[in-house]
Amino acid sequence: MTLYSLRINGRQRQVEASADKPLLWVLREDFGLKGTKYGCGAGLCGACTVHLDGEPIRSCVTRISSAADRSVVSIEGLSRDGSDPVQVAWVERDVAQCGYCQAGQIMSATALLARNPSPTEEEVHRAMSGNLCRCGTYRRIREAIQLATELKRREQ
Amino acid sequence: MVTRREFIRVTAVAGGGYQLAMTIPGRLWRAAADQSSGAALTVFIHISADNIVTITVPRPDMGQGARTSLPMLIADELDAEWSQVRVEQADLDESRYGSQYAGGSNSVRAGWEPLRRAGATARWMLVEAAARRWGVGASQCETGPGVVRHPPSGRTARYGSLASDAATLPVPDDPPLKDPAEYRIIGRSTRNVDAPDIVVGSAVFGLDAEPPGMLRAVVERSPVFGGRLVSFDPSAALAVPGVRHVLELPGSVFRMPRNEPLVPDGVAVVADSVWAALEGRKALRVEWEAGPGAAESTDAFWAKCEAAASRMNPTVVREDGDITAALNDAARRLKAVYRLPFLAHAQMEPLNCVAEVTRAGCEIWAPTQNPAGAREVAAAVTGYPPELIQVHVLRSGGGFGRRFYGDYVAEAVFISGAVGAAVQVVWTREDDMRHGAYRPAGYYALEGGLDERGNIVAWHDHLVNASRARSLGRARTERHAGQMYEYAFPMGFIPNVRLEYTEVDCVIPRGQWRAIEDSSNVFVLESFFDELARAAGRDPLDMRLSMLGEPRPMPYWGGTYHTGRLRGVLERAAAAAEWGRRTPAGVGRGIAASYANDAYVAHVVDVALDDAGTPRVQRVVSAVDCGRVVNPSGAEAQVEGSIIFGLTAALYGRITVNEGSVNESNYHDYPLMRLTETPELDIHFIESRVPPSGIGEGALPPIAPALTNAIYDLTGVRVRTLPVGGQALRGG
Repeated sequence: MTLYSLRINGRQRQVEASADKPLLWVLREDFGLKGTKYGCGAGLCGACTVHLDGEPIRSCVTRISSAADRSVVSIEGLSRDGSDPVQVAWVERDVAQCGYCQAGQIMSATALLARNPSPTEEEVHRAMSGNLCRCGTYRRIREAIQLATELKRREQ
Repeated sequence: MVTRREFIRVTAVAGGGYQLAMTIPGRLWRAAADQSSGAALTVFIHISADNIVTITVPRPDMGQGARTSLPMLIADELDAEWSQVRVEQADLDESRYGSQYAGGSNSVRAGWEPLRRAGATARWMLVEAAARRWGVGASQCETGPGVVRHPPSGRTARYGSLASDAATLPVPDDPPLKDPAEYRIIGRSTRNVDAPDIVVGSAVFGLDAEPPGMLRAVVERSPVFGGRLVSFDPSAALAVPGVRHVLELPGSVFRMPRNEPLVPDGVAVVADSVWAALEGRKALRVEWEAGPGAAESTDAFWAKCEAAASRMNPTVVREDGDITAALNDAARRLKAVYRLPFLAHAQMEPLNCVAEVTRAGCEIWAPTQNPAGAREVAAAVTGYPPELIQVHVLRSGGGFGRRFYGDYVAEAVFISGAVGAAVQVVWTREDDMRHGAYRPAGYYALEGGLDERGNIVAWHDHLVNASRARSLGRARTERHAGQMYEYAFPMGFIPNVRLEYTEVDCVIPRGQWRAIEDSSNVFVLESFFDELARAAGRDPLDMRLSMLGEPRPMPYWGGTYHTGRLRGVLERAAAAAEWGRRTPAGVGRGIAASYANDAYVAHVVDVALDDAGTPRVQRVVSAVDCGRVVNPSGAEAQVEGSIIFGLTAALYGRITVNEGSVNESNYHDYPLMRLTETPELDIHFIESRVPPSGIGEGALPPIAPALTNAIYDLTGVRVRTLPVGGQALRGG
């Protein structure tokens, strides 16, 4: 067991864990941040996507040791009140069915729009192709990303 | 005779609100349930002094939108202000709410009458309370969103101010329901009530439940179906930090209720955290006795099916005319064998359940489609009477039939009882994939006959499978029921038909999977129909329409379906897709339709092949008649989802078994469609005044044959074995 320091949703935090414990379970069980979901445990479905220093990563296959002294943002840290344009667009387009994969979808979409405010369709596809949705909400995800792009543009 | 008055109770509650409960007496509920048309639902409506209307939803939500659509029914008849409606999930109490399962696309269909009536009852009482307060006639009063008004005097009162008075009034026997023209909420696109929580990560799914002091458990299960635990060494697992207990889970001795899957033998590792439990499980050393299940494989299953298909003693499930003579006399005969694979549900949230068993009783927090089933399972495992078992229903990260079953509930209950603490059992993705309740595989041997004018005069099919009924009920039923399509179009429109069924033994567990048997049968029906139409040189749409003929009811499993509505969706989809116009070079177009799960759906699929020869679905045009649409956004979401779910199965879905174990384990070898592959979707709903049916499943069955009919149109290759993926499609 080792003591790790990391920034989670803007706050400096510490956790004692074995080096190979996945960030997913640290977030869910050590910090009670349950918005990040377990789907496959193998980096295949994207339900556990969070930002590590701004990059979307699969927290189920990211060891806590590689997140040490870095900054993690989970779905809970995206905004205080659901006001991120991506969250607003997701509600507006009524994307979610069961909703289980949506935190991961939203984290992938926000990471995309942060580095590329007006992505092409091809770029959206590339950024989102690692996030599975069994309910089949893809069409609305596409629409919501487009709407979020417009909302962000208007914000500026 | 029990009048409605006797089973509607109104009680004042603290805080100036009131609750309205419709309670169906036990015997009535059972009678209704036996008719399987769904018992009347019952609900609570709570109105607070500050005008918040809290609606208790009796059915689970697994993504089908019950938590939005069912409150809409109540709120519209109540004339509530939708922005003031809050939704609460009912715990299991069928004596209060009526049937509480989510399955069979039943929630809206079964809720339509009783939930509107509950809303109308409450509205009537609020109007009566206002009229008495003002000393005017109730007939002079009207309601608007959340208020009662008396137009002659200009007085108004908010529902919140009337609620406690209303609670003291007698309950009306037959409160008037709205003229549908007055609907303000029903028929208007309404967003998922949980969307704001979902997008900030605060919606609580099963896996997120955490009663105080809860431990986590993972289970190492027999890798071979039906295998037995011989011995295990817990020492290395117990040495993992955080692991508290390692214990035998003797699943095979549980007396599971009928229609529940058997629980495999296993070893449970109970820990402070999921990660510790997983690490502990990795360290376990377990010895299994594989047993006879080790001989099972999907290859052996198909060989068994093929052998059984040529045997002469099948069960005849439909016989019209003289099939032998008709085939002999046919101008043209076609033979075909179709094979449909076992399929997993692969819902995004793996199975999980929390149970806390004490001497006083058992409490369960379950993401389940079937809370009453969870109670039965817990009763079977604990021996407690049902009244000591409480079930809290949590949001499910997808269900699709898998969460209808309670094998994972049994595990949680057993482990909790054994260790004396609240325990959450967590399945990994691999556990979920390898210990499923799979869609039954099926082997269909068909022969059809055409006359000289290209009419279908003979249809012979012999289905060989291992049914879900026998897997879960386990008792061998003499006469099969419900495996085949004896009432589906074009049955009843062909003079000579013989449908046969043979069941084979198989240890692979089977269960309900979205759209159940229609997920297989409609593929075979709509594909072979297309084969016959093409062989006759006829347009498959025209051939369907000419056979359907005049609009009329046709028998369907004890009820009827209407040919005019099936024709309606075919015509609408065809028109929207410009069926009959030439497709661009390199694009194939196919059509298929069905009446399934009480919905009429037609799809037209456009498909192309990419450079690698992989089919790419470009566009799906759909027409849907599910009666009156309660929530257009939600209904369309279900159709979108059914299309993607069905295309995923058609393109990729296949569970295979070798030496009694499932080969597939995770999304790398059981792939799902991705955003990049999502076609353009153009979905049309037929406007209807017919009471709503469900739409959680009905759009699934015809999508696979629409795809493969399009592939045939493009390539000349007839796909008769699913999935499509991996098959050579060029040069047909």
